[in-house]
Amino acid sequence: MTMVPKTIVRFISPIAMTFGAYVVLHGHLSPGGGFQGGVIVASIAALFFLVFGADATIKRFNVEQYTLIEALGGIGFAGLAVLGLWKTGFFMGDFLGVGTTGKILSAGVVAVMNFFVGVKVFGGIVEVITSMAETKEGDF
Amino acid sequence: MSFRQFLSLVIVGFLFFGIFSAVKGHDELFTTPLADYKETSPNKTKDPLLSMGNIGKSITESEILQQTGQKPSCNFAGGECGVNAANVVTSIVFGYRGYDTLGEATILFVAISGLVYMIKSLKEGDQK
Repeated sequence: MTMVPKTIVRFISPIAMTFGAYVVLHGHLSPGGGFQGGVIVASIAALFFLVFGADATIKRFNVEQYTLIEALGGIGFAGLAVLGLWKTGFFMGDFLGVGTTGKILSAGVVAVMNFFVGVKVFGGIVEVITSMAETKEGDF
Repeated sequence: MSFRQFLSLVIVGFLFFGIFSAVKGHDELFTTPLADYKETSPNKTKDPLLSMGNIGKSITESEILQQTGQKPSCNFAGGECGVNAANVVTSIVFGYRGYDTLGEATILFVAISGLVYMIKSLKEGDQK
């Protein structure tokens, strides 16, 4: 592609990533959550694929690395649920403090689970985009 | 067994372990006939799900106070309510419907595993 979309993607990437991280971390306070925020962060990979082409995407994103990120997110989510079973006796029980409504360190285990789901979705979507890039060759 | 297969097994094992441990010892969920619920009045009937305890506390206390104008009695969900999350949807999705979210995450994981395997095998087929 020409210089214009490349420059725009370079300019937009940090802003969109920050916004995605905000949506994940404020999932229990404002509209959004882990799934949505993770997809917002991963959409940068899709833009990168569209603008810079398949070869650059394969070079930039390593599938194994993002597999590991996704798996760690999933294990964190499921492990936190089992930890709740151990601490409180209920699967996904809330063993952290509840806090005050509106603070970022509140809602107990919900906020932490949001974070792990965000990490998992981010890794998964980047993995999908990179695998799709591997089937394609050259530039668009 | 590759690393990815091992991770998939760990996550699916976690899911089944959680469902098993939540349902274990609560056979009345499956053995109580429906007719028992029709005879008594709804107020006296015990909710069979209550015996499972709170899968997750989720409705915000201040939200209920805001909507109804009175402090909630929190008789549901095992006698406790409120995680003080301002976003009620998230608190339900990760609280009462936590199993739903866990299943969704597992579905995403399995779908992506299938896609990656499929594309890898397609590429190997091309090279041959």
